[in-house]
This record gives sequence, structure tokens and C-alpha cells, in this order.
Amino acid sequence: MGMRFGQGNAGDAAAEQSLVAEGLRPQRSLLNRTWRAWRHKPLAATGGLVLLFVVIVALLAPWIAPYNPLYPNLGDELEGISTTYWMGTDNLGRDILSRIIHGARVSLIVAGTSVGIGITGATALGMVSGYIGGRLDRYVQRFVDAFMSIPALVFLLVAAGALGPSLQTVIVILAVRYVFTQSRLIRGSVISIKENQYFDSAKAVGVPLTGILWRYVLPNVAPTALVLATAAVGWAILAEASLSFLGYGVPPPSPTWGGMLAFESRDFFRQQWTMAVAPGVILTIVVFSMNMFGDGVRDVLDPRLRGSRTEAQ
Amino acid sequence: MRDYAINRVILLIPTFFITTFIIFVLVRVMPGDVLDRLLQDGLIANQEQLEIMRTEMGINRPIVNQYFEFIGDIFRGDLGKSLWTDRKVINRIGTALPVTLEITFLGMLVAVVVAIPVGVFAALRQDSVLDYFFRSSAFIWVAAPTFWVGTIVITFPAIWWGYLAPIRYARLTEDPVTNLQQFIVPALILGLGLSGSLIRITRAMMLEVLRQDYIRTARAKGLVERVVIYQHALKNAMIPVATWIGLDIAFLIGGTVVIEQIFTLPGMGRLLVDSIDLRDWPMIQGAALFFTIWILLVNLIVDLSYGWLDPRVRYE
Repeated sequence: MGMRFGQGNAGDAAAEQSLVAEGLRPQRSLLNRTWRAWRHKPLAATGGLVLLFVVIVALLAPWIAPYNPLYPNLGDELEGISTTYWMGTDNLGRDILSRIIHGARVSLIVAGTSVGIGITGATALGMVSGYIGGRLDRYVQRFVDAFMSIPALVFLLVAAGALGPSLQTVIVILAVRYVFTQSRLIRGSVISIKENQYFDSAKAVGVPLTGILWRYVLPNVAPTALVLATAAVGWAILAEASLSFLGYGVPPPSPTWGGMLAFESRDFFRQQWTMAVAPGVILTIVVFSMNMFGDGVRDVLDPRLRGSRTEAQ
Repeated sequence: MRDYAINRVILLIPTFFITTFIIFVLVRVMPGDVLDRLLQDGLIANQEQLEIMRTEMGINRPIVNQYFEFIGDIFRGDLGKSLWTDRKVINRIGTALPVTLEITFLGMLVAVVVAIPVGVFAALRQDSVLDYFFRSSAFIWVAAPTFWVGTIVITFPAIWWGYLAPIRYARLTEDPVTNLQQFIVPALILGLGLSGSLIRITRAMMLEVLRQDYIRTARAKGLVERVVIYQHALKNAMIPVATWIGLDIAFLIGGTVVIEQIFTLPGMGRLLVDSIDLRDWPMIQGAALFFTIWILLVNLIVDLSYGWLDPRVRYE
């Protein structure tokens, strides 16, 4: 975010590349390039590092977590911070740190899968709808309108209530929502490029529709899709946590950050403060880093989207 | 403009039908039909009575027929009755709505009062330490989940200062002081959460406007800086900000779901969650429908005002 308002770094990077290509400047080392990225966008780079750290922690959860996140350490209920329990224990004597570490897994699985499926679907839908246009586009867009006019949490709650709360349900309903709501921006960028002459040329030489979409449309919208995906991850983590908090997310005893803050535990928060503070601080840090990272990605890949409403869906 | 407005309103019709259909289907899929639960709890005597009730409620008929009856009922203002209390859904919404409207309004007020001055200030002092400070705090407010901030606020002040928000809900018309005591904290949380994105957009728009030629002209002809900022820049920067605020009202009403739950305020969000818990589907349907119509209307107003302010929009 160290940039002034205006152009991103894409231009610099391109100029750099061409200088390198012409052999006028030596290829920079990875370390050097990382340092330069850091200096230009310190918050985005820090966000990226935090995320990398969370991903590693989530992957290695069973090996790093000091305790089994589900195991009640009888007699050690509601312990404060100590060298045995770094973040204390909850009302059932479960180690909070271990639950947070395993909670990272749940958060990342939900966010990663739902965003992966959702944005892929949204890209496909937006490309087809925007490129083919006409009646198909009109019909599809009414569905998009419909999904956009049901408030996110209302849709997620009713859908989770209907399908029964589970890990799969949360992933599916988030993905479905993304397919529709995020396809609009993809469609927008398809429409803005589809008048280019190379589409006519491609059609003239007989490239089939799927070929056109795959080879000529997709590369144009891929940056937008990537920007949407990075913005969507932070939101998905928050959505899952909110649902779990309300009792309609990933059901207990699975350790989830939202679930750890749920209603049933509220009476114990007064006795053992880390129960209330730890999951929220972690959630805030992770979502904050994700948003920072996403902003950096957006500035580099698609400066036009700057300030667009990509964070709330 | 007239054609644009007519077009925009016509577009509302298919959207309305699709949205209501999505809600309708979702609610019908809900497992654990409430009648089965009533049977289990012994509130329905036997299988025969259950069948009679099913027929009475019309849930034995094809889903498409049920849907069109539901639409017909909406236009007659009849949203059915609660399965548990026999209260009319529309009356129940009538009591819950003022709570949600009040909290939405207060939250919006907090957001605007905080975000616009801060956003303008950050833009005027671009890249200063304070600018960085405000922008990072804006990001933190966006990231911190409302339900967590709410939980913290309701837990710790109680320990430290013995502060407890009044538990029993008091109506604004009957006991305004208690009512405001109850609403001020949730409104602050909601409003500050919202101010994050509002600060960013205000700052971005101000920066954009400040770079325009007419600002340079205004300065060149010797206007006082204060007049340049408030008369020339702020006014123009506020147009997109106002749209953003409009959109936020739509999102805010969804955000009240969580905050009402934490502060036990009997609003629409609470009604929705409680009804889902009870599988009270006429009630769920009514509440979800309300949220949807609210957003449809807000979006319509936003689009129309945008079309009015910016003629280019009309020809898209």
C-alpha cells in the first residue's frame, strides 16, 4: 500500500521484464525481487507472509498442535495462560492453542474449496453469459440479480438450515453464492473486450466457441478472476465464522474459530478471558492479512477494480 | 431518464419471482418438518391428526401450486401464521421491524459521522502518518468480525466496570432513555464496522476529485482553501459516496442479524434465526422475504438516483 493513488506497479514490472529480455539488465535474484516487492507494498507483502504462515500451520496442524483439540484434559478446565497451556484451556479442559491451530484447517478448507469452486463457476458463467449475450445473458443476469438481492447471511442461514449444518453444506452454499454474485464482474470485463477485432478474426478462421472462450476470452478475464478470488477468501473465512458462531456452520466438536466464540460458551468467557479473545484476534489478523494481500494483488493485476465492492458479497 | 426508470422497474419483476422462488424452495427443503416435531413432543396426538393438519396447511399439494398461492398471498398481504404460536407472520414482522430499522439507522449515522470527516482528512494529508494510521484502522475494522467485537463488548465491561446493557427491550416510544441505552453500543459496533469501507471510498473519491482541473482552476483564481475543499471538492466526491451509503444500508440490514443475536434485541434478524431454530417455515419465509424486498427497493433507489446523477448510466 506504499503506492500513491494511481497506477500500480504493473508498468514498472513490464519495463523491468523487457530490459531483462533485451539483456540490458541482469535477472534479479529471488531474494532481491522479494525485497523490492516488500518495499513497494509493505502491507501486502506482510499480509502474504502471514497467510503463508497460516497455510503452513494448517497443513502441519496434527504435528505442531501441543494437544489433541478434542481431548478434554480433566481437572484442567478453564486454566489461564501457563507454560503447559500457552493460551489456556476452555470449559471442557481442551487446549485453546491446539483448537486454534486445528481451526485454521477448517477455515482454510472451507474458504479454499468454496472460493475455488465458486470463482471457477463464476468465471465460466460470466464468460458464457457475457460473450454469447442476447437472451441467454438476460436470463442469466436475472438469476444473478436474484442472488444479489438476498442478503448474504440471510441466504447462508436459510440454506444451512435447509440442508442441515455441516462442513460440506457450508462449502456448497458459499460456492453457489459466489458463482452467481461474482460472475457479474467477469461478465463486465468480457463485454468490455469482446468488440476487439481479434475475436472477429478468430471466428472468421473458424475457431469454435469453446476455443474462443478458452484461448481468447479466458486470458483476458483471468486477472479479474484472480483478484475476485483473493478478495473472496477473506470474506469466506468471515462468513464461515459467522455461521459457526450462530450454530449453522461446521458443527461441534470440530474446532472452528467462529464456533469457539459461540453462545453456549459465553458464560465461561468471564472466568477465562482467552476463550473469548484468542479466536477473535486470530480471525481478525487472518482476515486483515488476506484483505491486505488481496488489495496488493488487485493493484498489480487490475487497477481498474480499485475501490470496487469486492470485499462484501 | 423516464425510459431508464421504466426499464429498471420492469427488470424488478423477474428478479422478484426468482428470489421468492429460491427462498420458497429452500424453506421447503428444510428437514425435520415441524409437524413431525410436534408429533414427537406429543402436541399432535396421532398420525391421523398429522395428516389432517398437513392437508389443512396445504403442504401435500405440488410445490408449484404452493408457490403460486404463496405469491398470491404476498400480494394480499397475508404471509400465513406461525406454526408454533398461531400469530400472524405479518404482525410478528410488524413488531420486529422497528427494532431493525432503528439499529440500521443508528449504525448508518455512526458510520457516516465517523467515516466522512476521517476519509476527507486522510485524503488531504495523503501519505502522512495519520493517513496511514486511519487507513490501517479502517482495514482492521473491516476485518474484525462483528460477532466477536460484540461478544467482547458484552463480556469484559461487565467484569471491569460492572456495566450491563439493559436486558429487557424497551420501545423507543415508551421509554426512550432505556431504549437508547440498549441501542447505542450495538449501533456503535455496527457503525464502526461499516465505517472501514466508507473511509476508504471517501478518501479515494476525494483524492480523485482533488486531481481534477476544476480544483486547480478554483485554487488558481484565488479561492480560500477551505472553500475549495468544502464547496468544490467535497460536493463532487460525495456523489459516489452517497451511492455507497445506499448500498451499505442494504448490507447493514443483513449485518443486524448477528448483532441482534448478541444483544438480544427482538428485531428481524433475531426473528429469522429463532424461526430457523424452530423450523417455523411461514415465519422464515416472511422474514427472508422482507430482507429481500428491502434490498430490491434499496437497489432500485440507488440505481435510479445514480441514473439521475450520471446520465451515462442510463445508456448502458
